[in-house]
Amino acid sequence: MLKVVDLHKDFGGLKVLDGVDLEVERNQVVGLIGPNGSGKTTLFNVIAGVYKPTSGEVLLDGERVDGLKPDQLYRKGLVRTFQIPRPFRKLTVLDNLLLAGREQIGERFLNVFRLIKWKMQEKELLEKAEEIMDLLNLSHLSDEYAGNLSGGQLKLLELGRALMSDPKIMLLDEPAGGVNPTLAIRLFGKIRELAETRNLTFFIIEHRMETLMNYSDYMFVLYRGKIIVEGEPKKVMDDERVIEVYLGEL
Amino acid sequence: MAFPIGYLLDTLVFAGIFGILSLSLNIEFGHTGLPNFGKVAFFMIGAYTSALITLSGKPFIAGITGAMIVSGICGVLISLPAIRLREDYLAITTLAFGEILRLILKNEEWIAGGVLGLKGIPEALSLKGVQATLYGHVVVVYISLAIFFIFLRFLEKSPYGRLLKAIREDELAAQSFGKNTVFYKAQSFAIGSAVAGAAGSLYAQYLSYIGPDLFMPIVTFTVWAMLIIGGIGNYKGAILGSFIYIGFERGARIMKDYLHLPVDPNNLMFIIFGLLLIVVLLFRPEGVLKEEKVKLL
Ligand SMILES: Nc1ncnc2c1ncn2[C@@H]1O[C@H](COP(=O)(O)OP(=O)(O)OP(=O)(O)O)[C@@H](O)[C@H]1O
Ligand SMILES: [Mg+2]
Repeated sequence: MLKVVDLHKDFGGLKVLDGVDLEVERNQVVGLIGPNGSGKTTLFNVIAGVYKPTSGEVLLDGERVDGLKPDQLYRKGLVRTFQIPRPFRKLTVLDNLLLAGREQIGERFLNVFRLIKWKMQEKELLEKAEEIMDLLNLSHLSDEYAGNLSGGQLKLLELGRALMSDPKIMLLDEPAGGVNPTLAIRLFGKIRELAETRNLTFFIIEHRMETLMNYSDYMFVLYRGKIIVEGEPKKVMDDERVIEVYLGEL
Repeated sequence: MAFPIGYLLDTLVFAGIFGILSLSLNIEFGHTGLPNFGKVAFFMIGAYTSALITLSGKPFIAGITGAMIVSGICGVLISLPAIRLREDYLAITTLAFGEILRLILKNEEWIAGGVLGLKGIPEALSLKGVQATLYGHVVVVYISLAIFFIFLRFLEKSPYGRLLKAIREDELAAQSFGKNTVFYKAQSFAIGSAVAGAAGSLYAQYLSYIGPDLFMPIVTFTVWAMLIIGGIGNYKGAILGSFIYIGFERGARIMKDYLHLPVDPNNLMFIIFGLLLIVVLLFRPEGVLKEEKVKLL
């Protein structure tokens, strides 16, 4: 589904990604872990088209996509969330979700006055948005400006927008950071379920590996811009290098 | 005495025309977050285009349509290089463009009369008598204002408007949800410029004379002041801002005739207005009418 080949990204002299190779299989939940500053978010930014790689390739369903813009990647079915939420502050929670909807008729200037057409689609999107708000415990905030949400709620909104957009693959950057643990567990459960039932693929950054362990099929460990270990969660967790890297951090 | 009503109507026409300009800045800046510091350029392009068209014998409707098309196209051409970059580049580019264009029109006589400008521009509605003509102007300007207001509110209350606002709030996030933001920013700028062009067309037919000195950078800043006072991001506020500003300006001029002040009331106007702007920014930084939550149609 998603393949990254010998990916490098430098900022000035700083080699943040130093030859990353990985592959995310279809309909799996794949984790990416690694200590602070190891380059996880940068890897997502390069895959999602925010940065151009210094060298290397990104392939989506076998097709080269490195260098494409975020909106082009969205159209190819790749959606990402941000570690530091980027809500549309002066839009309501509901509008934040609706905006993420795909191929909206009423977003074309020439269709603005074809009220009946876009309102029908808007209604469908509304139903979907309501389901998602329900799932994320955001329903009571539907009409609130996103700018008024708490950190945890913003995280949920990030995830909600990604769910709204019917992607094939979702890149989630610490989706449960700041979210209360009970809800976090429910979210990961839901993610698992979506992967199994809806033909969705997840690539998830998570700081705390224990959280991810029970819900992922496969894991990569990034350290100083390189994948140092990969495999099934159990195997990865027990790997000496991983323990060392994480202990080294403490 | 016929004078006061004439003065009132003249004030109304000015407030209406500047109200349209203020609306046009609101879609660009208030709604999409694009700072246009060359607003006057598109006002001027509209005025000249319309004047040239109507002077050649075509009707006003051709003049205003032409003005909107030419201003809109210029808007896209000017903004495209800068719109891909950060907002400040757009601000600088547009600011420079306005002045350069004015100087070209001033110095190149063959384009549109140079310093002398264009005279004898026909009115949109030619009626008999000074008073009737003035009423005619009010009608034409306010019908236009109403059309643009309704049009822009309609946009605002559609998914299109929601998208423009999302770009203002966070362009990268909007891109991540599949929106071609550069394309939409160019469209917003084109719409704003076309509407400003229409205002220019109305201005030209009202004054019947236009020249380069009517289009100094101060016009741009006046429109900004109107929008800031009225309420950035609120289309009603944009119009209200124009009324407040023009009201102040005309009020000061009347005072000159009736009061004897130690300061020239024209200067006093600027002082009061400066104070008003400061007071608004201090106590109501969002303007008199602040941005509202928008419910789609
Ligand atoms: N735009 C940038 N310019 C310069 N350096 C950057 C840039 N973005 C990231 N970096 C650097 O790259 C390194 C990796 O950052 P990154 O955010 O990818 O880490 P991370 O693994 O996501 O960390 P965390 O777990 O804290 O989120 C850091 O040293 C960071 O300072
Ligand atoms: Mg990170």
